[in-house]
Amino acid sequence: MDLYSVKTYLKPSSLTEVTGWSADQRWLAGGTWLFNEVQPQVKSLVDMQQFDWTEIAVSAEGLSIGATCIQNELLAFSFPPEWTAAEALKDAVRELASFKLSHAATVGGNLCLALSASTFAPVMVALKAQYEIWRVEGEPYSVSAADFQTAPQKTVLQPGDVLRKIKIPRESLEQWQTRFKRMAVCTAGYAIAIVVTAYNPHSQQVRFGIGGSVLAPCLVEFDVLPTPEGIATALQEKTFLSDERGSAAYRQHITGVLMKRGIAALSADVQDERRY
Amino acid sequence: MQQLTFQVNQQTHRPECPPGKSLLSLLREIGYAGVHRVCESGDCGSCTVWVNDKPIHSCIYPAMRADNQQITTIEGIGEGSKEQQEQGAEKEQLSAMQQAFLEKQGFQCGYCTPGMIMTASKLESDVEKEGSATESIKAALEGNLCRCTGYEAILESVLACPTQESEKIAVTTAAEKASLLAQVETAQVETAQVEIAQVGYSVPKQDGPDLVTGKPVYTADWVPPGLLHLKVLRSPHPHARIRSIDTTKAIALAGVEAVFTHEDISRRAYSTAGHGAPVPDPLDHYLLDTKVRFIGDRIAAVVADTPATAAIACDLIEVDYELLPHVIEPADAIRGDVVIHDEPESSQIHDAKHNIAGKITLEKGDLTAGFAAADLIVENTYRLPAVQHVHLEPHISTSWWDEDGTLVVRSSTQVPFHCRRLLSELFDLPQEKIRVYKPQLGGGFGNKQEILTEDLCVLATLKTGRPVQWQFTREEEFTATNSRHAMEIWLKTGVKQDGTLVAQEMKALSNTGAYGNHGETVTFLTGCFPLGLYRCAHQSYQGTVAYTNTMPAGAFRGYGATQGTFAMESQLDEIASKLNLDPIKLRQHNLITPQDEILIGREEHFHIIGSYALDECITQVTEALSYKPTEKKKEQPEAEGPIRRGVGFAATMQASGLAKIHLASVKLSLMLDGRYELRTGSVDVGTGSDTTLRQIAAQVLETTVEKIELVSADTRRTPFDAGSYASATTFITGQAVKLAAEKLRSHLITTAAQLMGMSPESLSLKSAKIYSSTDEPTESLTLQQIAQTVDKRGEALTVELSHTSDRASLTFAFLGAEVEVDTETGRVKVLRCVEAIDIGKAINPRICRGQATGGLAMGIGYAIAEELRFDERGKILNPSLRTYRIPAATDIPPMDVFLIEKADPYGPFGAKGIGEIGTNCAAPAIANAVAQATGVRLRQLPMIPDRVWQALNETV
Repeated sequence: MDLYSVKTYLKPSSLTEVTGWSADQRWLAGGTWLFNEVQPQVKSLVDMQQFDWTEIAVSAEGLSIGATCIQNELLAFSFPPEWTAAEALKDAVRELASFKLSHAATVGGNLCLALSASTFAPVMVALKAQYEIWRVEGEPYSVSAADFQTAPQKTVLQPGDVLRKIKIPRESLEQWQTRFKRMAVCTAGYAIAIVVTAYNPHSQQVRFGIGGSVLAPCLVEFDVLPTPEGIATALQEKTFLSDERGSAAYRQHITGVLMKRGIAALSADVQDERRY
Repeated sequence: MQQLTFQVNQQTHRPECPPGKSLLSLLREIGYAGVHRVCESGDCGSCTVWVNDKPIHSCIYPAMRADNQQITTIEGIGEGSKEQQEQGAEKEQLSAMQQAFLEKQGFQCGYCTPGMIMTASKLESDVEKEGSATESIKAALEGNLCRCTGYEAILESVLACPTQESEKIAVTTAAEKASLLAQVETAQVETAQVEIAQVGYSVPKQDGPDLVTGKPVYTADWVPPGLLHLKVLRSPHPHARIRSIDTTKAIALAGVEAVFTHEDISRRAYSTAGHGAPVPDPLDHYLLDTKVRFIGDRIAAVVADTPATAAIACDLIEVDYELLPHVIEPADAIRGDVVIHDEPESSQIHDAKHNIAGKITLEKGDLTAGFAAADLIVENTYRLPAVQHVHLEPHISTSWWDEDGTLVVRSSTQVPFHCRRLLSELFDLPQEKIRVYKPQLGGGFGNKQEILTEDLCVLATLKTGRPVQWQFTREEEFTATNSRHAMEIWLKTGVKQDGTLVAQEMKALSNTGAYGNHGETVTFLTGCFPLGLYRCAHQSYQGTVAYTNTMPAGAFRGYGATQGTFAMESQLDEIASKLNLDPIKLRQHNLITPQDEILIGREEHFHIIGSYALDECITQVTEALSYKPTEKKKEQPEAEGPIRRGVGFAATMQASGLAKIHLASVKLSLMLDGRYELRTGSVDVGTGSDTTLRQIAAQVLETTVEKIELVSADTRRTPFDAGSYASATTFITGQAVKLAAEKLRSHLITTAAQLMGMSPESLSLKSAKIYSSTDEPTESLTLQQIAQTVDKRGEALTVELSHTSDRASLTFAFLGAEVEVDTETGRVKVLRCVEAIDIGKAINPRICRGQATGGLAMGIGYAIAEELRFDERGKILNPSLRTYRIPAATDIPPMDVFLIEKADPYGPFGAKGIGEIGTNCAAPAIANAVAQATGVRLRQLPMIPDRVWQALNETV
């Protein structure tokens, strides 16, 4: 929709051109969320397109994804075949919304927006990603995916901070098999629970990246395949959201169901549904 | 403002662009009207265009990003499209996908069509195969919503599209369009029959070529020069008195033409409901009032040079409110602690002190005696949510003064004539001085049987002298129009051991929101139809229509019968279960028969059983599902894992039009070129009724639809018609057309007889000739000759007549639904629906089928997904298509639709109404299937996973 209050549109070619930052400024990555709601508080858009932070880079350390990488680029990218967990990144794209939206939406945009329904956040948590953050003024710093978001639409980013890239260690991509599972009130729309299960068949380790149902995306790890009781105990410590889309009790319950189904699919090595 | 340079369909544009503009708005402003504005949130896909050949949602794409890009819109995908024609290409050619949509008629109102075609043309290889081509296409179309079709025809279109763009069909002139349509038709009908085959054949919707090419046919697609845009300031409070309004800052804003408040209007009470006079609704609404009654109520109107200026100016208006206590729940409201309509000017309110807008009492027999005779009494309460129509085209109207001093209102309305009458009353203008007309409509479903935008547009045009347009945003559609009435229905049934119903008592508490439009009439049908469907000697119904401080409820497909049907059909299954009877047997034992009369609450009936094929409907549905009704209820087989499956059924009835009061007038003339002109005030909401009416005329006049020119829904150019509501168009306007055509035919034959010096009995009309059927060699006169001869005498061959029906024939329907319940997640998935509709006669089977599948899809949404969620102040929490989900293609199961034809004595060629009935059965049939699958009864809609899971847990 049209953003009536926006008065300026900046297209800096690099971050150094951006000086100062005011509360009514917004980074514009893909724009797919900014333009989907009225934004009366926004007066200025800073278009990041010319930064050209769109790389998908494979190295000995692992994978690096530029913040403004268009989501569909991940679907088209040929990851090293032994990087089995890269499938989770593709699932995050497939489960976001229509493929047309993913032609414009960026990976970093999805993370920084920090909606509880973010499809990328639980993937990044499960894959133990690190986020490199640049600042309009000051030194870059790094934060882990699990620490990045603090509540729905709240992150550690300070005004003028900007996500530069996402780094996923090779260790998380090799060996690990993943399943992406989500639940929404309807078959599409905002998820009320997302569980990304990563399983290492050699070590039997299991990591769950949980989003949608909890206050902020979180990691639950087990050294061996967990029992239903183990899952239930782990979830008891979490704070579950409660709103018009779903009660906390249901969110807690469904998160456990998705975890169990994720493990069941992985241990039986079957592909099953991503959404229920 | 910045100047951008980009290409659209190979044509260079250099528009000025404000920094916050969406690509959608920019494209529309520079003339690409096929890019449709619907959700404005990237959820519905109606605005899909290609940027550098990649499909995107243009509503959420920054226009500034279009700089130096190549954009393609629906107007540019055919080879030799508009731009190329200008460069010398001769013919516009449809793309393969456009052609497929035309062939398979993958549209109804057409508002989603350009986006569907732009998306379907670019389905990507990375879209995984989900088991089958159909499933894969459904998944890929998740970002494209249609509210009319139930997706069936859309999927058929996409599947029919050849992957190679080899075959193109050229379209240039109207004649060629007609020939194209005839080709499409030929595919469906045997060649020999096509010449005259009209009634009973799936003649293509005649607006199809415009819809698949994105022609500028809708209200928003044309505006007069010098246009002002209107926006309103809406109330942030559920209930408040306005102490004062300061508009100084708003008026001072550059670009603002005027600001209007309650001080600028002559205060008179009216209803927004589009009913004929005398209106049955409470007169409780004001153009602009000193009080606001729900969050979203209108406070002040701004007109300005752009929608942006008007919106910004609204935020500059300062209002001093005296906050009043508010009431959200109907049960609380009717205690009367808070009085919502305390103004003395309002009238026709049943009991304003207790917030009761209306009250309905229907009685038959002796309830006490009936219950005393019962072996089993079952009573329960059923809860139905407020849901929204989500017609894709928003409410929009444009008003201006014509050169001859006529006030013209171009509007997306189902009721142009009622609208004109109301405007005349509100502004003291004679009706002859007002012209209301509707262009192509992008859906309505009842929400455009309301006067919501025309009134303030006209106020602004009268005050400024300028053309004014007001288009609702999607958020306004969700928060400031109307919903289906939320209801709480208590139902108590007494039954004998053998399943004979002996007594039924129903009480509905209906939430009409802040205003009473349609409240009493809707709530009347809640009891009338569901109770009337069953033979039961002792019945009573009490409907209470409560005001609350929430968005008003209004007319919505099914009109109250939908809610009552859920309660009734759910409870019958509960009874069957308790009595260990098969639910079909129980119904068959009690359903009304052709010999019965529907007498609840009245001495003589006007809802009548004209034709009756409900028994056949039941047989068709059960056979299709291989369900054998037995004497005993069926046991659920032992199941492993969390998945349970079940099947459920429901019956319903809905009247065809409103007896005695729904007036349709038509004017049918033979034109000088030997073709006909049909003028009707009726409104095609997108269903295809304009095509249906032409088929009826063509059938009588022994010709084809393309020979019948149609002028419709224009108070200046067409005779009066009540409008499109109450499933009336085919039954009432269709009958008017049939009567007029018969009269004209006999008039033509008489005239020809006179000219030929022969007796009328010896003459026949066929195609474009009147000929002697007895003489050899045959003597004949062409219609053109007759028309021109008569014209020379200064006469015209015209018939104008009006029709009301003394009887409103009942349409019956029966639905079976198979569901799967995941008992761990609570997800209900509908696997298959089989519906049989006792249609009388399907004038156009494909159009009828479209009503059935579209109604069913809407019913499935009501059953398992849709609900307006309110907070404690009545604020709607999900006012967007991202959070208020209507069914997507993936949510719709295979649907079998049987149109059972048994001619009705009162409808044209035996036809009955079909517009609404398809919606009623889905929710109860699905709830019954869930109960059969799990043993758990859901009495509240929608059956969302959280709710189903909780219900499953409560029983454990």
